[in-house]
Amino acid sequence: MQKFLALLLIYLGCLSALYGQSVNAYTITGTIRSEADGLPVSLASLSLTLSGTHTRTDDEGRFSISLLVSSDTLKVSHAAFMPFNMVVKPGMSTPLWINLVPDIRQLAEVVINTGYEKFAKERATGSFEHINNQQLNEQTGTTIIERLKGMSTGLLFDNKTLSSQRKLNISIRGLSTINGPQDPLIVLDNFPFEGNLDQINPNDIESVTILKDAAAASIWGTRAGNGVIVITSKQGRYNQALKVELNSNFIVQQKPDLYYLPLMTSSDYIDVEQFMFRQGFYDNTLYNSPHNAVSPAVDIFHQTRLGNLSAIDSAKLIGNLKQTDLRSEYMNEIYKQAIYRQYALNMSGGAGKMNWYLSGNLDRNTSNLAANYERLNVQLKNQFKPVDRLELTIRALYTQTKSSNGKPDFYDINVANRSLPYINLLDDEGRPLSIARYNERYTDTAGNGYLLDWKYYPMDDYRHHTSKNLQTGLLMDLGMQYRVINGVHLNLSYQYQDQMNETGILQNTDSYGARNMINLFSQINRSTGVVNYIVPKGGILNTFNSRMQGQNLRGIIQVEKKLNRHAITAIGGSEVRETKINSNNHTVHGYQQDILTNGVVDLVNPYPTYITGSLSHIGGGSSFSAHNNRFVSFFGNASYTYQNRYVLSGSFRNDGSNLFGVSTNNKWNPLWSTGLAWVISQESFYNIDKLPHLKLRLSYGYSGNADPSISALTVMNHQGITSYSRLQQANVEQISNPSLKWEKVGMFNVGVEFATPEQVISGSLEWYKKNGIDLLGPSPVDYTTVIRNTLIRNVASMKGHGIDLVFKTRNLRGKFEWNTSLLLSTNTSKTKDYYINDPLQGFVTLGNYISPIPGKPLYSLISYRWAGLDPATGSPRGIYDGALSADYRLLNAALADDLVYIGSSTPVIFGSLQNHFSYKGFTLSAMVIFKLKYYQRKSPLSYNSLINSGNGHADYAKRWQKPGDEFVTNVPSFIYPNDSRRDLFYFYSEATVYRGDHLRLQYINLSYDLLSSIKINPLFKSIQLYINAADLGLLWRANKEGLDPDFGANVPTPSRYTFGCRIQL
Amino acid sequence: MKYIYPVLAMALSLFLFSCKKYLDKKPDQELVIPSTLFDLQALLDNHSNMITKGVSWGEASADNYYISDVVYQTSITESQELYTWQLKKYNRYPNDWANLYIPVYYSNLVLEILPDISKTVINAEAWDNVKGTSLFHRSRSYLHGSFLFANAWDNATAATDYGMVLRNTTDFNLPSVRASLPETYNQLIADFKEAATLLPDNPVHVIRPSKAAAYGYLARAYLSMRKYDSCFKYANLALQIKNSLMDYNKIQVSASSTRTFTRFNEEVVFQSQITFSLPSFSTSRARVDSILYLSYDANDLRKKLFFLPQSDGYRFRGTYDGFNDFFNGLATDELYLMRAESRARTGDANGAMDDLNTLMVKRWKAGTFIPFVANTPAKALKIILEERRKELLFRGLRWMDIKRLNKEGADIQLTRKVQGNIFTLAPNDKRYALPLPDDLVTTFGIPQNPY
Repeated sequence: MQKFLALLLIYLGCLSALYGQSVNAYTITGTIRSEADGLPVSLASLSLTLSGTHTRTDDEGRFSISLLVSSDTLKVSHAAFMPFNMVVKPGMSTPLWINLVPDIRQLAEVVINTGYEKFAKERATGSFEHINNQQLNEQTGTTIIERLKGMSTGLLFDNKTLSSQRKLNISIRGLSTINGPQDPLIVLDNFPFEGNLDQINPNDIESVTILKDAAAASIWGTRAGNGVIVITSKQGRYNQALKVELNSNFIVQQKPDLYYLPLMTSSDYIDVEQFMFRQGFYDNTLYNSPHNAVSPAVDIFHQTRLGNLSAIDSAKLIGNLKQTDLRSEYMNEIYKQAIYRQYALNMSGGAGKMNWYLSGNLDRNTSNLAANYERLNVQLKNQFKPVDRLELTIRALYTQTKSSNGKPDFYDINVANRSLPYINLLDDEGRPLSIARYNERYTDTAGNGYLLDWKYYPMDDYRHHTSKNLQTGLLMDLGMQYRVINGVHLNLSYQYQDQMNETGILQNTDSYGARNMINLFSQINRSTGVVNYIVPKGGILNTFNSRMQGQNLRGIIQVEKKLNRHAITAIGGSEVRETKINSNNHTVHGYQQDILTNGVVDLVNPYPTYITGSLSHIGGGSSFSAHNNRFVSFFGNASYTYQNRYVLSGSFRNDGSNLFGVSTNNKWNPLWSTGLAWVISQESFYNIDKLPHLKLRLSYGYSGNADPSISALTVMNHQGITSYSRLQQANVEQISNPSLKWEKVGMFNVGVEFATPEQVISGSLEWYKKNGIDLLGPSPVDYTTVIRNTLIRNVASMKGHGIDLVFKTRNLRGKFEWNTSLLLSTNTSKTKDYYINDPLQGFVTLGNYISPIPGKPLYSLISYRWAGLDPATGSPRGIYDGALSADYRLLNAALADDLVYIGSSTPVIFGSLQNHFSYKGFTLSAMVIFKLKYYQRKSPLSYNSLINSGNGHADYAKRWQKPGDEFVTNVPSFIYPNDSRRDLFYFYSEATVYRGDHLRLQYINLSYDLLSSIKINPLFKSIQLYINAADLGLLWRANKEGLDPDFGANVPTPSRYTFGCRIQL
Repeated sequence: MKYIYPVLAMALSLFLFSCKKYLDKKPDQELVIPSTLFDLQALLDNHSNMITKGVSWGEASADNYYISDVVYQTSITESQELYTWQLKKYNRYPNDWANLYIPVYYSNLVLEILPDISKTVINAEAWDNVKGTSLFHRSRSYLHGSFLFANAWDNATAATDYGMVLRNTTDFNLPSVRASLPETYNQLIADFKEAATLLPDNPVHVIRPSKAAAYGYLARAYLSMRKYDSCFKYANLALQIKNSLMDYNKIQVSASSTRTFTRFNEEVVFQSQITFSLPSFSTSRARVDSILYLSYDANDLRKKLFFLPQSDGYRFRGTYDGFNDFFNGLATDELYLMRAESRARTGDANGAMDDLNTLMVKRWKAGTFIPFVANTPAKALKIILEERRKELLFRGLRWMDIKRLNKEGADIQLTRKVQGNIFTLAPNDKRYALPLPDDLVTTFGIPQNPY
């Protein structure tokens, strides 16, 4: 590693020497760039005081000015930047490279990066949200996506069920699809990022731009339907002195609060077990499968029944168990505070013809359960101009993350697949205790000493049953920009992404898993004592490897022309993309870690297992898969500005892919958008002094959404040898659909931007409407023709609308500053057309999946109508066909009229409120996130789950027990034997729904700039110390039960406290 | 400046060249685009698509069984209506019509891809087998479909009777058109004949069709058309390839077992099973018609081997499937009975009795069998039809037999007694052609049978 760094530095040094300086006299030339982002500053005024000459910079920030005297002062001014002066003399080395410091008090010239081009926000006709570096640093943590929470309008983080179509749980302006992929496109440095987002180090990121409407996103074509998040990383700038940034922080995260979980007390739990024991629930296990494990309490009841335990001893043991609480053991002994350490160092610099950026980041995290995570990023970026017209870019980013397992989590502890609240995993001295996997009375003696120990010690086993994951990622960019003539550039860029993911799950010889497999397949000859090991002694190693390789090649011609009052910028180009994913996994038995050998097992034939003698296959082997997605695209984008006040823009994009049908690829069917902006405040008639900035934007267009899980071809799947005939057999998985195409999202956006003098009040208000058409959904088909009665075709549609409001105020200015910003969004996304094949009750759910009922929100809560508990029995009652009913068979098949549509299960209104205070070197900021107007379903008590899966619920204590209870509770009475339909009815009834509305204190950030009061060494530009407290819980919630709607029945993310330091040289 | 235009041109051509070919790459390599003989054979060897979704409504409508009022009551409406021949409109999926067209789709898929694979000296046998298998399965669906959804063949009316929808492509954009009954029979007979020339005498496995199976199905087709000389010809050709019979004296079965025979037993020429696309008629719920049960002689081993006494009647356990499904494939006993019947009908009483006795000696308790004797073809026919009734029950054949025998004037009246109500089905009633699914009629315009 050190060698590598040394080589890099030598390389950079050489480049600096090569492209250093050149000399010219009397005419002073140079380039002016912004200190903040390194982009050229156009239309900056330059003057030489004594010479009396004036000029302005061109579009590329260049200037040329005549020096007429022997020494003069060059003055540079621009509305958005601090004034700059310097002494100039003839014979001084030129060109000059001047970086202007943005004037934060002025309307900063925000630069939008769409991934294809960069331009000033002034020129934008579409809906963009720019999140700068300072905003990204408001939040801490390992991942970049987390730092976007509350930072943009329209961007919602939620907790719906994840799937291959929904990997991120973030949405931009709601959904645009029903069955297709739901994640926004993530772009890192101009190319879609296909890898694991956790690999991106937030410290390397300069800014994030969210593309929200069609005019903003449609340049991304069939991948832009869910919006685009463009991440731009830091880079060096030409003629920049060496800059070093060091950021180091330390995060402590609290233990998870298990008492948030609505779990049954040990005492109640054992009482239920005792009741069930008396009812004979466990008799089948106890008498017919005596080898199987039962809970400790049931074992005590059983031993007492058998007479092996006296009633007094039994009562005493049970009394002890009732005092035992696994939760408190976890909270006090097992969970530790999680620790996150982050070190980030970056250096950048540049000479006249080259610049560079070098960074190294290291993250080390230890979880509450002592699982480790380590991430290393090393990055080098280099830009140089071998000749004046040509700029070359090289970038290499290497990432390596390693993670390994920790202790088993609370949720994973069970006995006989039942989660018992009253077991202990450690004894009084902290030594691991075993929990039963089989009846320990049996396994202790089963092998007469010939078998391996057959006990499971959860708090020891994790050391022997280990899971290690290694991910390495390489991202390489090669770019070339050539200025063909002034204002015309040719860009060629290539990116290669390669991510390898290796997981090794090793159950070593001492692990329970390996011991159990070996024992199960041991054949003991009782007379000779010889053990025949069908599964060889040693460990079991499962390896999962996958590799993603992405290649992008893009060519763009870029034209920028200004002629008097007209300005045109346009790009046109094409690109080819390919993403390949290969994966395989293997299982090896008898693995000896230290000598790297493995045993051989027979995977074909079944063998008798030790306990029951039934035949079983050993299992394992290997499997492979390969995926390949290809896109070819053509695109263009143009914008015309007249008098800096009217902007007209348009874009188109056509994609072909191996996912689409032949007839789709063969058609020229581009996605397009168009936009219009009008800076009203620039008009001569405009004379509202109180509102010096007023801009109106309009846009309309289409983006697409391609689903890689569905292709247009007839696809079959080889299923291997069947036991029916012992012949190789195969199946058709997918029926050819030559007209399959991408989904389309049309969006209309209208927005107004405003600012009062000195930005005392500024913001924007936007309204949008979107239509998802050609969405994939089932459509009935003549089953005489194919093997299904519905086919997935482009037949469904949805619609949505919403408002995004940004309202920023500078409440106090001067020594003590106080700024507030409010981001508020609304979104409603409803199904328009959808063919529903199943009866409606299929959509009575937890609200975590899309229920595509025409006219209803995509994520909506639909419930059985609740008619209270029966005063006589405490059984839940509903309405069937308009009449009171307790016939659960009917109620579970409720008619549409008897179902209650409760409302959206995603927030209809959401946003954030931020406040910043600064005084001298101190800055204090805080964010509150709000989500309003939505509903969630509790994870309610289910007697079926209690009886058959042993999941206790705290509501058991609130159950109906006697007449009159129905006035104070909705929890049904406990009946045995249980009726699972009764449970289902209660589970999905109105009684288990609550309002999700809440306010959350997302973070408080306090930072202090040390140099504001103490001067240490001129070498330091800034030293900032900061403390951040995040995930601080809810400030207000609409529900009375104390539920956190973002987490439901899961433990909320514990609070985190960060202590950090940011140094700039 | 000079060299930038070539570079530019190169860059652009880079994107444009063979863009189409680039996009032909398949997106998931685990998912195979069927293209090799191996792929096609594997598709045809998928038993759950090709042979285990055999049609059930003929058996459900026929007189081999009854269900109790309790079972009837707890059945869904469509099952109840089917049982009492009242079924008119239904949309429930899957159904027998849908199940019939699964092998048709696969056969068509294979037949569409096959021409792209060149036939060579090396692969000729496999190539022929794939083609013959596809033709066979498609024809078999059309034949079994005709037994259910069309009127019994009648030379007088056939030309105007509806047959099946004949699909010869997998393109679902082409609408379904219902062919006439002669068109249906013409195609299936031609295809069975072509299959017979392509298939091997004996298959690798009885889930694959063979020459014997193709001949057997031709015989079955001609039998349903009452063309007995052709029926004789093909039953005879089939028996020349395979004629092995099980001696029921050697079959051991415990008193309580629900199945007597093993799957793929030595009489099976071609394996296929019935799947009840509507619930209620499973082997465990249906009870054997009591008159039928009583018609077996005490020394007839079938009485014990076929039936399991239950508290409420007799359950059929004699399925050649060997598991829980009724068998509706082809077995040698049926071939003997077809040859015997066509011999009797064409005047060869002795030959007919020889065929029958060859079979029956294997069915009676050893030493008790007295060969059947008939001195006229008519007497021979009567005995053969009685034994056919007793041998081939729950084979998916009875519905077709009732339909064709009524055309011969057998005057078989069907009655069901349900909750005290009597339902009857007169010979040659229009309802012998079962209705097509309503959604296909209303949404996709396939003509319904006239009622």
